[in-house]
Amino acid sequence: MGGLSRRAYILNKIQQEEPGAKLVLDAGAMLFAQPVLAPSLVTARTVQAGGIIEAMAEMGYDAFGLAPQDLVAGIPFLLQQPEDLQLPWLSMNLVQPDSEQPLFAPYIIKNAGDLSIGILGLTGRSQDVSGQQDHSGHRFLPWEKTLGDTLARIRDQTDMVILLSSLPEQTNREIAQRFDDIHLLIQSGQSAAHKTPQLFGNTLITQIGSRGKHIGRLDIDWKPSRTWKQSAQSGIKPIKDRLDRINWQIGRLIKRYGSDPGEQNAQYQQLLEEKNRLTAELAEIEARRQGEEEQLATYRSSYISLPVSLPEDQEVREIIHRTKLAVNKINRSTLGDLQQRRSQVNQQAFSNLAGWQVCQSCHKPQTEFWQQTAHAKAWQTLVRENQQFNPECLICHVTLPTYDQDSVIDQNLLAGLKEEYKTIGCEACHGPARDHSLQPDRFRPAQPDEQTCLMCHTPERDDNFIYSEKLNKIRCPAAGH
Amino acid sequence: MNTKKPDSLASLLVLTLALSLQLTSMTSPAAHASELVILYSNDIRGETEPCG
Ligand code: HEC
Ligand code: HEC
Ligand code: HEC
Ligand code: HEC
Repeated sequence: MGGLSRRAYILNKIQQEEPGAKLVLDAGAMLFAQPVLAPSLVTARTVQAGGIIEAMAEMGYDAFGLAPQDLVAGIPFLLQQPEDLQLPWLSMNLVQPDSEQPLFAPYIIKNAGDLSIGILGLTGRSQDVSGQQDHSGHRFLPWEKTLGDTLARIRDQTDMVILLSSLPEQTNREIAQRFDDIHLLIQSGQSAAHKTPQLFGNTLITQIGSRGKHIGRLDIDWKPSRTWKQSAQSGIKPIKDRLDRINWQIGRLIKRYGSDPGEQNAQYQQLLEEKNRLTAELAEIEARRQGEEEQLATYRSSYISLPVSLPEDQEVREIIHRTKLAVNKINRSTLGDLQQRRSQVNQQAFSNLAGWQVCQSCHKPQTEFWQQTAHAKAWQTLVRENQQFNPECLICHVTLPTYDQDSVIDQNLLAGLKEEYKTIGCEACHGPARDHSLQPDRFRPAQPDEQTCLMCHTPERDDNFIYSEKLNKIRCPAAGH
Repeated sequence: MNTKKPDSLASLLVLTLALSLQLTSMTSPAAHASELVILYSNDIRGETEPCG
């Protein structure tokens, strides 16, 4: 959520510094991480989603796609937001079960410069469809049932049509191939990576990486032909490719037989002939296109990254800060509730741990070294971030008898953590070692390997984890005990 | 017979007009080009978790 204030800063800056027509869009999947949440997380996450809505409203978006990840708190949660927090959500296929009337606007038409732009939304279905359908009184129509009609309705009123879609990538491509009059398709939530804009038929499909660390930007030179130059030129590409291959083959023959492989070389002659034929064909097509060319629309694609060094928009920053505090408060009381239940299981699970202070007495150099590492401060980091009650964060920032996610939840291990475990202590890496600390000669604690680190240094949390390098930073010294 | 003449004249006029209109639009397509900037974002999953 922190990145929103930087996003707001950049959007503001562009709006202010660059004159000219602009649209700001988001294809959705921004409120919740998953389409279905564990019940114990729903309240806190819903408050967080409310904060995100507030921040987004502040940023002046023109339209939002509506993805399954936005529906976790139910549709009333979205519809009953106060007037000034009603985001322009679009979905033509999310409908009332009986009337089949759309629950949100199926499309809007926006004027940007002298263009009239139709923006449509299609909502993907999550894997867990049954769960979603049960509690929230809505239905998904298949896109086939709505898209054609809606397009027909807005075709004559618009110069350009944009579809915001959270459908699977494969489906988006199918739609693109089928409807030449969708000119741009922005997809959401499909993968963490950027997708370079790619044309399918006359539809440009694009997606910015899903971690919110970038904004995508398209500079479009739109033409009344409503046809992308790149799409009109696609017929040329196979010819060019074939020519490239021929030139390469000719080059190889020349290398082998000298500058003139000779008339007797049939393969060489054949290649030359084909080359001449294709070159003429290409020239003809290009001459014919020359006139057309200037009528075709072009785009330039780029990404704006949002590094932490960027200034923050103060208003959005304030919203985020307020929201974080509220979420932390809810997590605190949820954790308190959990603590009152099942505390016995909980304590038993910790009975194999000793806590780092106990190790200190026999392993002074290692303890002193460890205290300087980031691990020793991991709990303080959460306090600093106002996240020290958030079970989603705690699991990697404290000492636990196990880091298996299911066990942690089943055994309620995060409730009522004792002070000595509010850190990533010795036993996070060496395993529970109470037995060892009582009888060092009989029991030997484990030495960590790469798998140990990967329990927490997951790709999502640490995208440049190189074991050998990071090991050097935290390996305990081998001094005497 | 004579009555047909003004009619076809008129239609000829319309035709030339249409043609020249089309010609202008062909010779100066820039006049009809529209610059547009689209800024788009994707979900903010991960931003809550500022690790890494
Ligand atoms: C009472 C003293 C004592 C306490 C308390 C103690 N250890 Fe040890 N530890 C030892 C001794 C002795 C050895 C063996 C040294 C050797 O063989 O070189 C050892 C060895 C180790 C080793 C190396 C194992 C190996 O295979 O080389 C690790 C790791 C370790 N201890 C971790 C811990 C941790 C973690 C704690 C706290 C939970 C702890 N120790 C508490 C005395 C202690
Ligand atoms: C229990 C979870 C956990 C385990 C296990 C763990 N780490 Fe970490 N590690 C963290 C957390 C959380 C931080 C960030 C702490 C902070 O600054 O708040 C961190 C920070 C670090 C850092 C400093 C920041 C950086 O990325 O350069 C290094 C280095 C590191 N860990 C290496 C390792 C290695 C190597 C292992 C395995 C031998 C390991 N960690 C095991 C959770 C873990
Ligand atoms: C799956 C394990 C995991 C979870 C869950 C997790 N973290 Fe982390 N966190 C890490 C690791 C590993 C690092 C160190 C990565 C690095 O610095 O490269 C880290 C680093 C951090 C840092 C940077 C520390 C610094 O000062 O440089 C912050 C802040 C942080 N985490 C906050 C959080 C918050 C807030 C949450 C919950 C929303 C959370 N973490 C959940 C594993 C985790
Ligand atoms: C982030 C993981 C991590 C944490 C936390 C950690 N250690 Fe270690 N420790 C290691 C690694 C890695 C080694 C080296 C293992 C090897 O050489 O194979 C090691 C080695 C050791 C050794 C053996 C040193 C020798 O003689 O070779 C001892 C003893 C030890 N640690 C004690 C501790 C104590 C005590 C703490 C807590 C104060 C602690 N460790 C915290 C990762 C950790």
